Amino acid sequence: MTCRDVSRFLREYFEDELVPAERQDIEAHIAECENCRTYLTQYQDTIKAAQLACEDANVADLPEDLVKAVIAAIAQERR
Amino acid sequence: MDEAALIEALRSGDGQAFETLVRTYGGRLMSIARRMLHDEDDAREVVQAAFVAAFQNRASLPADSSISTWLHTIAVKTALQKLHDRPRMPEEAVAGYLPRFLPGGVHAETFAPWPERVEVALAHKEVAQQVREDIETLPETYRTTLLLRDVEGMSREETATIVDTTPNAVKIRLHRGRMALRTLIARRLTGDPS
Repeated sequence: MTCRDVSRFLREYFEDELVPAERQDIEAHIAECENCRTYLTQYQDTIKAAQLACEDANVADLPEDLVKAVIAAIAQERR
Repeated sequence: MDEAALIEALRSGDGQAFETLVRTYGGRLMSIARRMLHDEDDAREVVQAAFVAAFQNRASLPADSSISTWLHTIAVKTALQKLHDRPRMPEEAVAGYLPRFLPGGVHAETFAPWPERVEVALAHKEVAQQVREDIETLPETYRTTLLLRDVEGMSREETATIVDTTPNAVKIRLHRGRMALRTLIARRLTGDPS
């Protein structure tokens, strides 16, 4: 298995879609290849980074002015 | 009113039912719009447009469906329309952000470890803002797939339906989108062009 093969199957690796033999091949490669180990960690961290960056910490009820605007817009549609 | 009764009332276009819908689910829709757009005014516009779209498409709410899933899909589609107007790199440019290999399949670059754990780095507001900008920079098909799968947690099949493609294309776009985003984040965090 080469670095290119590891890179190609990273998504499947993290989403547990590989058969055991393929998984073992990847793990054998990353045990020997520091560069692939770093890449694999960063691939996983990228998913976390996207989630953390887009987190909305302000989940709350819709502001009342927006509730009223939405209800008015729906009423407009009804006419 | 239980969910089945609310669905029935929504399907018949009952005004009170729609007010209940807005009050019950409005906050969650605002949160989806904020996660995808990162702009309060755009998020408000999307929430309003999504509820109007829900009213217009009330007949498409299956009687045995979950209101939350139905509204989530409508909100995501409405937010994607808004995102479509924003600048991003052309589709083919993604190739420049994917790993390169030497003959024999060895990585052409050496990857520098990131200086901090990702949770620590993203706790800095400016880094979180930069990552949001990096996501927005991605070509549209990759940006959309990454947002729906990794941020919104939608399934491969749901994502494929929303973006009108195959589940297999979603797999490929997600993988490439993540790899391109990794490169953009690595450049931010390490200053290393790989």
